[in-house]
Amino acid sequence: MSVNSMKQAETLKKTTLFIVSILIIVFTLSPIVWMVICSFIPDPDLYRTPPFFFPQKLYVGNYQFLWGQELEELTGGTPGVFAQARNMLASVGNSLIVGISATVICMVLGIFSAYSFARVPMRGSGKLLFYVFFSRLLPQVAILVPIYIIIQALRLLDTLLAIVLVHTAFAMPFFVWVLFVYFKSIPQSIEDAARIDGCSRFQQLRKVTLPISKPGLIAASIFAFMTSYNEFLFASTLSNTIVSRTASATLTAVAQGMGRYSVALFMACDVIAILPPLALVLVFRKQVMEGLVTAFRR
Amino acid sequence: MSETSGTPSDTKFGITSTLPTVAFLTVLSTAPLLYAFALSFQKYKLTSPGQHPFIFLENYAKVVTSYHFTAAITNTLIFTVGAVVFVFLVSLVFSLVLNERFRGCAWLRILILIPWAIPEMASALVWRWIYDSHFGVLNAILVYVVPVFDSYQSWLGDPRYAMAAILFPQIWKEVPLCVLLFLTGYSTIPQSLYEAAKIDGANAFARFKRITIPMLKPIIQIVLVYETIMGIASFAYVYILTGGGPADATTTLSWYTFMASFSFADFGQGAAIAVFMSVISLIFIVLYFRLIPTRRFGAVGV
Repeated sequence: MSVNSMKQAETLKKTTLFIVSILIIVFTLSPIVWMVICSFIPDPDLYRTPPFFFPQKLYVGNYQFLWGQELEELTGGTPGVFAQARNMLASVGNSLIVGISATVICMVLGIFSAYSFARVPMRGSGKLLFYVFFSRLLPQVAILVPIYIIIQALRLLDTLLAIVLVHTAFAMPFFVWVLFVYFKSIPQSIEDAARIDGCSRFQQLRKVTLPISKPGLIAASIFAFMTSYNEFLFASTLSNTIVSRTASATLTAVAQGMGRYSVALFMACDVIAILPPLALVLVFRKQVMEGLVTAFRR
Repeated sequence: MSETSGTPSDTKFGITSTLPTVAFLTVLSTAPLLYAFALSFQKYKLTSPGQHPFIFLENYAKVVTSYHFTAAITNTLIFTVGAVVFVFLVSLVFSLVLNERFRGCAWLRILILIPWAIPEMASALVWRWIYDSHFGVLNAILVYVVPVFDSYQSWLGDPRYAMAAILFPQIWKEVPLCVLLFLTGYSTIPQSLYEAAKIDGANAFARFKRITIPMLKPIIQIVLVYETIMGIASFAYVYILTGGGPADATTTLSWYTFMASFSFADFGQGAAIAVFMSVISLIFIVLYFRLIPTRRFGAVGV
């Protein structure tokens, strides 16, 4: 290859990298960017042909409405949807309560199980691990009706507790799996030293293995929280009133009631709803990325 | 994972540490599944409460002979295959680029996680607005910016476009994870293989075909099977964007389960479809479980 053709190949490569990079940005961000733009536009301005691709000026009325102020620009629509939308901040609060509770239960039960699967020799533990694992991948809609009937029988409909329980069951398999893989990646010899020093299994876990596994624990906990935060089908089916609506459930109600009115307001709801998980992923990006990959190992 | 039985104290620890989790999941995952199985053999209509007689396979017979069923099977197949193929191709191309070192590549790797990170319902809402047949930005772009169409289309209401319209958000949401998995895969391929091939005169395409693809095989298998499972289970976009329509054009098995249970108010028939769908999923889940590599396959280069 001549120097010239190598230079050409280099230019070609750089151009390709640049073009695909732009493509990645457009592919990934355009729906989010459009969501944000629409949330900063007075509602009537959304219904124009052709639309504004860029807002003329920053308009924060939609957000002010969600904070409790009245708003005249909103166009018609059923009052029910407004009430749902206005409940957004409280719903995010509910989501945080439910998500954190589910995560804590996952930790309390899951850390020991994951450790056991990774370290403690026990007959049938492989089969048990599959048992814990498989339910996560089943289509959730398959158990919607049975769960509804069970929760109804327990008289827990329209309570946050019901949603916490269901979400914990959804988050647990992945939580256990990620930690299991992390625990396994830690050399046995570190624990052996502790064992010789007279540590029990529990002490080995608490004093040696768990502190080293902090990145794994953070990742597993974030995944548990996000599983809960994202779940909409059970959260909206099991809640009848705004008391127990999570953010995803409120978005579901909004999406179902959404027509061609007050869309700007709904986009503002959407922006608020995506902030907590986005913040989590940005802050813990390293743990999240490593944890995600871990989850596909064994 | 050790299959041999250990000391008595280990066994005690093992049982006490796994039992709560297993019990919890049994009550809230397995029992509901078994309950669905039982329901599928009963006449359980919300219109006639209190009476749930055992009718054996009648629900299955009704479901299978329904014209929704043929649509649901076909659409689930199209949706799943479409999602798997496109997620695979798009994430392969994206990951190949993100595997290169250039200015801003670290940021791109984080950026690409966003579709994975935000709630499905949040994206369903914005997709619905993007697809709007009167004021949607997709129509505006395709008519005014890049004039492909001369009039606005009803993306969600037109049987020609509805399937593609729910497929795209699924691809959008699933690509990030697969990009990450591919990136991990590349990091395990020894650089010396590429150097040796270069010396032998293999061009970039030959190196990709003879080294990257074979070395990536375990990850490719996982991505394909995992995306199949996700495709079968996908529900949010049908639910919010099309509601199975127009005229069953996007009725998938998961939507059919929901529709039978709640629109037809027939829990028995809904359960029958749920069981059917779960069995198909379970086949892929077992396959997936077997495919997960037991050895470490490198760390993602962040």
